[in-house]
Amino acid sequence: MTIQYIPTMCLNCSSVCGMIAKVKDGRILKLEGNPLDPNSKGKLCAKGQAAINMVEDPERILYPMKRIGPRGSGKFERISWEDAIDTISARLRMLRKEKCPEKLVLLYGRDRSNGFLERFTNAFGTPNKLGHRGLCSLNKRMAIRAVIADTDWETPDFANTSYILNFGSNFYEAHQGHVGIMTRVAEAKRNGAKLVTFDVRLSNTAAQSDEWQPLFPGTDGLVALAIGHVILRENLQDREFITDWTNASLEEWRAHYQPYTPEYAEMISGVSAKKIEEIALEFAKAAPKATTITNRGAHAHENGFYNEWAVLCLNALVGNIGQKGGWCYIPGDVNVSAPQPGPLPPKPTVKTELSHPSELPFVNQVYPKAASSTIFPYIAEGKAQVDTLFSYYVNAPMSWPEGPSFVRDVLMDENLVPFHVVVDAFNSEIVEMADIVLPDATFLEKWDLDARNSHELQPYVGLRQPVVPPPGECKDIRDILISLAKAIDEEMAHYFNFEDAKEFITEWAKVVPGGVDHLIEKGIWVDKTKTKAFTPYLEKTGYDLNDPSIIIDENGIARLKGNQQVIGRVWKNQIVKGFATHDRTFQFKLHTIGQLSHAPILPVYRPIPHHHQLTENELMLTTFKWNVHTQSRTANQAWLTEIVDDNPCWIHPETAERYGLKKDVEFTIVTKEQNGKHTRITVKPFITEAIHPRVLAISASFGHWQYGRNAKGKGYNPNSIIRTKMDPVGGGQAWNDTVVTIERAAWN
Amino acid sequence: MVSTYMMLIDLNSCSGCHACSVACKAEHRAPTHSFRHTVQYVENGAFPNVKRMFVPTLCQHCEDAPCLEACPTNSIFQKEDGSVMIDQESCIGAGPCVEACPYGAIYLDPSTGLADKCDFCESRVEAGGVPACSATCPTDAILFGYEEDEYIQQALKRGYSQWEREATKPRVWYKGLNQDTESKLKKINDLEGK
Repeated sequence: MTIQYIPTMCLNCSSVCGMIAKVKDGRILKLEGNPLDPNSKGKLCAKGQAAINMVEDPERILYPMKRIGPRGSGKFERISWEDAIDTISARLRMLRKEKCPEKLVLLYGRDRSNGFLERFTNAFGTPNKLGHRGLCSLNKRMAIRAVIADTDWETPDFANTSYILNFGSNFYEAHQGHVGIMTRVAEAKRNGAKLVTFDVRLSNTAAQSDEWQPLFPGTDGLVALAIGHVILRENLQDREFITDWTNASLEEWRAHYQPYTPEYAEMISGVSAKKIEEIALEFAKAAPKATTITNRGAHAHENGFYNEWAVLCLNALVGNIGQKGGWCYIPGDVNVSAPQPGPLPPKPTVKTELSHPSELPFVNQVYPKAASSTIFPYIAEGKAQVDTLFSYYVNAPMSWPEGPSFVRDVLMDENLVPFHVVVDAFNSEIVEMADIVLPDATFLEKWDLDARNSHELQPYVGLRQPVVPPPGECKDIRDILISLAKAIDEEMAHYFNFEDAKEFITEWAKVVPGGVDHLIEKGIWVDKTKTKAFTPYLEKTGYDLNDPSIIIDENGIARLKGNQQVIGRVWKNQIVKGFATHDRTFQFKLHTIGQLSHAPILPVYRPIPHHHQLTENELMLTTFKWNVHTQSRTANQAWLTEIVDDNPCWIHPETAERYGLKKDVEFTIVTKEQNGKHTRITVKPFITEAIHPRVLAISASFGHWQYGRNAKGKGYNPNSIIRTKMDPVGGGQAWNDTVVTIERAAWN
Repeated sequence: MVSTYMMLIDLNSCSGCHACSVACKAEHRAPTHSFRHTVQYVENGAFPNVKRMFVPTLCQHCEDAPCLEACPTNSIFQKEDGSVMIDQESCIGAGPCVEACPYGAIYLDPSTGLADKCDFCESRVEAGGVPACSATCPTDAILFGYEEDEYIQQALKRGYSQWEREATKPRVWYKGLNQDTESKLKKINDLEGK
């Protein structure tokens, strides 16, 4: 047979780069980048290329199975798909009959079905479609959504920028947007742009930065506030943007930043006041061709929301928002360019403590159904009743905080989780906890329409299509849900009136010129009719001040007379779109936080309790990602594991010496729980100058006790000592706030 | 005059992401733990003034290639374009080339018993492309072309040097490879302590 070149989209991380599979006789010879992808522009990282290992993993799950021993025993027997669907649908049908559909909880890890899972839970009537968002990026997304509301992820115009302030993102190794950002930043750097990285560890991004500024964990927001202080003190702010486009006056901005002196920031963060002064001047001078970028280093903390907000405000302060070379934004949801085919089920009206935890009122308003840290504790505490847990593409016992300990215990408890269905392609740690296992197709065997925020600032739609058929009886999740919906009852079936995944995608792709055929051939469609999304808030609305169909209130907000819908805001005698917030401005003040969460309504620095009264022996434990691995899904991929197959604990030489640690000799890290109990893990040290002396860092990716022979038994899983702890305002998991001690080595 | 190939690797752009070495693995299917191409990390300095360099390493396609001399069956040869090749037909897997290469670029494939290494992606280049490592590099840090190509000449002006140039005259050049980093580079297929 001849060689075929089939375009599709990667999913070995969540950046979804366009790829082209070179296939011969049903075997993938190579995966390469698709040059038509506006983000990755024909490049593909190590993980993407190693996905061949994932498809060809000899230990894949090939058939539906049911548990025959006690839960967790690993004893399963093969069943038919018919049996599996009958068993699951009979149980789910009862929940609907008994009017308690919310007892179905659908837990997902990486859902790129872009709405299909929610279609299922909505049609079913449960609000409990819950994911890992609260573990990955919720504090950041909350801040962006609350402050500008147009989107929840920034898309800086890196290609044209001259200055990048990076607070805790490791975009040279991971990050949503990884390859697209890396290509552009490398080019910008060759053109003279400066990159400054704040991180507790010399990540590869920090290593490739012009400056690495190590700082104490969780103080990113304070550094940003001090940078703002200098900018205002030196009168380098963008007065027009602040006055016209934020919901506070310049005097209010000044008053707020006044106490955040560089000296104060130095005392807490360790970043020198002199350096803060220098960076502030450079950043302001480079504006508007300057931008920030952030990720978990800044926000995976109890004060993560405020850190993000403070960093975001720097861009408003110097007028970078939406500017060429500045901090830009464009929606990333493929449904914006390509709405899915109807009929769409109504959203369930019932709310549960899982979907809307009452301890997170601000999250429930801005970003409902996104909290993750609450899921297992709430199930354990009986705050939510679960009958069926349906786990899809998620490996909670491996990758959740307290995963290998507490989460595993909850999943083992048949009173708390009476029935557990798992869809997975591999014998993962969550498969071990299943009652029924359904064999998933990998992303190279399935259908999706997908897209991300376009770094060209022009929307696009991409296709994920099978490049090889799924092996054994593996199935696309869409096919599984279509079969289940049809088997449950007619009302469910009404919303799933599709033969299979391909038919659904074909229908969906009709909104793209050339339809699915165009995408099957090219993989990507870029909407060239749209101009690049610079300053979207200045876009004209088509209404003028005297339009009889609108009303303009005393704040300049324009509404339609009929339905009162806000259409924009008056600016320089025109009605422009503004930001998607309630008053169409960038929010420097958020009164709703005060009302709902009784927390500060301005971007303050919130010290993390205990962090600044550490005893001499207490250290901070943080986690990170390697460039060749994701958190829990790549350790079985041989071409990646031959590069990195271990995750020792990074520790500074002075710290190592203090505890008598020796190269490659394991030592013990201890955390103290709230109840006074101590938990421990034993790890190997990686003694390096490339880390803050008060910080330990362990990468995720290893510490599997399942997942096949390539993965199993390698490295360490730090999650058993990382407590379930959230930012009380933003709701995101505080991954990097764990206070630990080291047990002195026995030989010392 | 016949044109010769050059590969220019800009260490100031390289992100150490390993996309190049995995592309190589996918293209040529070198056995696990054998490498035609691998990215080495070299760290220098003391906190907080620490630097980490990333150095993609592969057969240097030396003008004075020690492997050529070492081969008892004359199976290693230089093409007119300068690339150093192993003739798999006549190779008997005797192995002195593995020892002779100062870069550790040659390995014996356990499945065939024969010597193998980077061939500058001969088949891709013949088909009009560039080597797999260069094609996928997300930071465009790896340039490949003929010595007299305009973009190679332009790039060369930005200052490139060779790894152990005196010894072997490599056709792979690096930008930003300082002496200290160079002295810490390991042999490509000697992964001990990597």
